[in-house]
Formats: sequence, structure tokens, C-alpha cells
Amino acid sequence: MIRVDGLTKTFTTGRGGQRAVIHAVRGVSFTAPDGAITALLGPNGAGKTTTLRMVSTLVKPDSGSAQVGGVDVVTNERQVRADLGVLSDARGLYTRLSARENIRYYGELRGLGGPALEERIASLAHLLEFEPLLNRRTEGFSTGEKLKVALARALVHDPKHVLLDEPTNGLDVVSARALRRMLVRLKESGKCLVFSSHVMQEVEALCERVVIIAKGQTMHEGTVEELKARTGKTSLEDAFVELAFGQGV
Amino acid sequence: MQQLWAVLKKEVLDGVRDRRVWMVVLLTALVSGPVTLLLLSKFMSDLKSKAEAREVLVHNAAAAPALVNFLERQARTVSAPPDDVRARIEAGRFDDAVLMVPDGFEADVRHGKLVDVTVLHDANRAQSVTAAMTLERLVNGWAQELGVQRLLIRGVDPALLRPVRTTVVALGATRGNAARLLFMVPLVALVSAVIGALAIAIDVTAGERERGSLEPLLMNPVSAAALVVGKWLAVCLASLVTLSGTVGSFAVAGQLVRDEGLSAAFQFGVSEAGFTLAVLGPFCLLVSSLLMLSALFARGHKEAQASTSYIVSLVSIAPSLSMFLSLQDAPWQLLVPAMGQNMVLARMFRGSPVTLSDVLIPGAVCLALTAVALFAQTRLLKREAIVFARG
Repeated sequence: MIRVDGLTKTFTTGRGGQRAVIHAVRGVSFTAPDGAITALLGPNGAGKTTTLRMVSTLVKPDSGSAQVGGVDVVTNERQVRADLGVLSDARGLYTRLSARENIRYYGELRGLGGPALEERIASLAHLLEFEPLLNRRTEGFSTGEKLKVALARALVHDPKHVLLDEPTNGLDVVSARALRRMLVRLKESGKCLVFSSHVMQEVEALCERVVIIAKGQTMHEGTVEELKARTGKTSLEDAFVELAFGQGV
Repeated sequence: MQQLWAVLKKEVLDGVRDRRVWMVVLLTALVSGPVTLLLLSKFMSDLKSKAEAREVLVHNAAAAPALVNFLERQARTVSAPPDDVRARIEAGRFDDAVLMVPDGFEADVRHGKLVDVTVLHDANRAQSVTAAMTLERLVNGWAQELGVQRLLIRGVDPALLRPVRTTVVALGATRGNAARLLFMVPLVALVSAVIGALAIAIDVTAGERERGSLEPLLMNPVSAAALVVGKWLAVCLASLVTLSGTVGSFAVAGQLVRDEGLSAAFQFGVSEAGFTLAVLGPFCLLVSSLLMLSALFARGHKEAQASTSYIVSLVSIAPSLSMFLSLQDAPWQLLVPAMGQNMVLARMFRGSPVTLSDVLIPGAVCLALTAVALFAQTRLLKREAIVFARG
């Protein structure tokens, strides 16, 4: 389970006269249970990515707290990193390495190795349907192919908690469907999944829980049905627009 | 330790597959050494062949039979220069010097007049300057001979004209002359250590951020120290391979040197190569860590190339500083990376004695600074502003 409580984060950018303070996150709270997919839904710049970066220990919160499987992200970041699989906004594959070498590198960084690691890579490639690509260098891979490799890399250590930052961005229909099947499979195996998105149909089809974030704050947390009931709307999109931007948009 | 090994293995594999890294390593190592040496040896042998050339160019030689006779007694062959010699010298296309004899020279000399001759040469061309000096020396020799004869005829002891006689004795190391030219060799070796490390140092830092792989990488439960040291070792490897290649190629080129003087001076065998590597090894470690440190602040390859260019320039300038500032072998240079290494290697080429502390002090300075640079990087990698390249 991932529990986030009142996280805030402020950045300063620029120097001298160009200096600007950005309140990226002003108070985000939510709980993501095991065996479920929780969506962070919000417009661009709402603070989703920063929230996920705080949960994944890359960014230190100014205040508030977050726990992954009961472990605090600030005081025990190594343990949290070990328990998490993260598909970040930047897929960041090494183009001169093959898909297999990319995944193997992360496996080794996480203390895996030998035949067990190779077996794990093979089964992930099978599950994510990219076995023919496994020994090819990732240079020139399509967006969908890169995503599959990056996802396999994030899952190489079979983490209990998985964070995905806009995973279907730039995917074609077939790849997006394959990814959704994968997410459902992960959920059914009891994992705790959190993913950020702004694609309504996807959220509606996949997620048990929805957290709406706008202007750096949690505006709503609950099931899709609760969300619709609260706003009196029949579609998730209408309900989202009302909660995120207020009425009349 | 296992993580450090994983990082090193990955970076080496990535580097080996990067054509840019290989091109630089191969070009630097295999080409720079021999090219430098061959150029030097050609320069030296041209210089010597001109200096010792038996041929001297005299314009209007018919007007000075006595002088020509003297030149021939000095085993020189007197030839006429090409007609357009003045134009050629002015255009910088003439590597020799010409003695211009005025009409009526012989008669004027016989009548005891002070006669002017001119030596034309190109001050920008070393061979031409040497030839001019040779001509001047020859003419002076003849003038002195003539003067001595005149004094003897008048019953005056010629020694009266030379109350002091100077004898020049060389006390420095015997290889001195050639070592003045060989200052280029440590310089090329120093620069090769930097050039070899450059591409991979940028790739493992700024490149990692540019392709968006730094963020996912840092989400692994890996200590910053393992990441930094693993990457650094890969960079060091590239630097050391390039340096070894360059030093090795000097050793091979040394066998090909045409010039006898140079090949005698350039005694660069296995032990000299080993000594050069021992002196420059710690320097490779330092340069690798400094290049990584400066590239870590850059957002991408382009910025990193700009920020690392300072290091490349400093390393190429430092050795020449001691020459231009006439620092000789001031011991404080041992404390300055690049200058210290250059000084010790220059002493080796000159054949001057090198003590153990001459090798240990610059090495220790490099190791200490390396540790500081690596430590700084582990701290920087924990800063959000560095990870996300903000501000």
C-alpha cells in the first residue's frame, strides 16, 4: 500500500531578476491499496509528476509524508527504492545497448544476476510481447517498443509497488491495449499500482480508484462511481472537468 | 561492490560501442605520437642537412675570387642562387640564405677599403636563419684570415687584437639539445590522456541526463558512490588506454626516426614508456574525475563540451607556461597537475636526474584532488537541481 499525506513541494527557478518560485505541489494526499490500480488524474502541470517523484524518493518533500509499504520515503529511501518499480516520464533507455542489456543492467543494480535474472528477462519479454526485440539495440525502437523495454526494466525485480507516469503517452491503440492487459495482470497478482494519466476512457476502464489533482492539490479521492455521484455527472470527463477546473468550463 | 561492478561493466560496454570514443582513442593514440615524432625528426634532419650543407649560395661570385677560394678551402661548393631569389625570400618560399657580393669587391678589398656584403635570409624560417648564420661565420672567418695576414705583414702580433679567448663548455645533461624539441612529447601524452577521457566522461554525466536515463537510474537502490566510482573507473580506463596507446606509439615511432641525433636523444624504450605511464597514470585518474565533475553541471552534450573545454585548454597551456615564464625546474611545479608531470617527463627526456619524490609528489596531489572531485559528485547527485538540471 502507498500512503501519501499532505505532501508539498516548492521549486525556485532562474537567478537574480529571473528568479521565480513555483508551488508545484500544495497538499496532495491519497491512499493506493494493494491489488488495485489507482489513477492520478489531473491537467498538465497539476503536480502529478512531482508527486510521483516524491513517492519514488527522487525529490524531497517540503512537508507532509509518504510511505511505500509502510516505509517512509524520506527516512528510508534505499528500502523504498528497493520495493518500488518506477516507469518514469523519461523512459531513458541506453540506445547502444540491446533491450536485454538494458534490463539486465537494472537487474544487476538491484542485486540480481545469473540464470535467475536471465529467466526473469525472458519471462518479462514474453509477458510484454517483445521477445523478437530482446537482442536488438534499442536505437530506433518505436515509442511502444521503448515503453515495453522500460516497463520490463522497472519490473525486473518483481516489485510489490509500481508507479507509472503517463504510461500510454504516445502509444498506438494496439500497444496501449497490450499495456492495459499487462496492468490488469499485475493488479490481479496483488500489486499496488499507481499511474498518472489524463486519458479518461483508460482511467474509467482500468482503475478502481481515482485521485483528482489540480493546482497541486487533491480535489477528490474515491471510486469512479463516487466521483460521478458527487458531481451528478454521467461521464467521468464531465465530473473531472468540474472538479479540476470548477463549473462552467 | 556488485553494483559498482555492474555500473563499470555497463559503461565500458556502452563506451566500446560508441564510435566517437573509438575514433578519438585510435586517432589520438596511433596517429599523434608518430606524427609528432616524424615531424620533429624531419625538422631536425632538414635543419642539420642545411646547416651542414656543403653548398653555399653566392650572388656575383665572379667579383670575389679570393673569397670563393676561401670557401672552397672550407670544403664548400659555391653555387649561384636563382635569379628571383629576393622575391622568393620575400614570399616565404626559400629555405636557404644568399651572400650578395657587390661589383668591384675584389679590388676594393685589395685597396683596404671597408667593403659591405649582404646576407639575405628569411627570419621566419629556421633553416634560412641557420644558413645565414653559417654564411656570416664563413665570411667573418675569411675577413679574420685577411686581417691576420695584414697584421703579420706589418709586423704586429695578431694576438693583440684578441686579448680574450672564449671557450664554451656544455655542462647540462648530454641530451639537452634534442630535449628542447622533445618538449612536445610530454605535452602530446598529457593531452592524449584528456582527449581519450573526454567523450565518455560527457556521455556518462551530461549524456545520461540528455537522454533522460539519469532519473530512472537514480530510482534504483544504488549508492551515489557506487554510481560515481563505477562511471569514473570506465572513464579512467578510456583515458589510460589512450595514454598507453600514445606512449606505445611513441616507442614504435622512435624506431622509425630518421635523424641520428634525434634517435640518440630520444631513447624511448620499455623502461621510459613505463616511467611515462607511472608519471601520467595518476593524472589520468584526476582528469577523468574533473571532466565528469564539470560535465555533471551541463544539460547536454553541447553544454558539456563547452564546460570541459576549459580543462582541455588548461592542460595544453600549463606545460608551455613553465617554458614561457622561464620557470626552469622550480620545485613548486610538482604541486600543480599537468605542470608537475610535464616537468618530470621533460627531465627524463633531457637525461637529468629524477628522484622518487619527483614522481610521488605529483601523483599524490592528483590522487588527493581526485578524491575531492569524486566526493563532490556523490554530493551533487543528491541535489534535485543537478538531477533535473534546474536553474
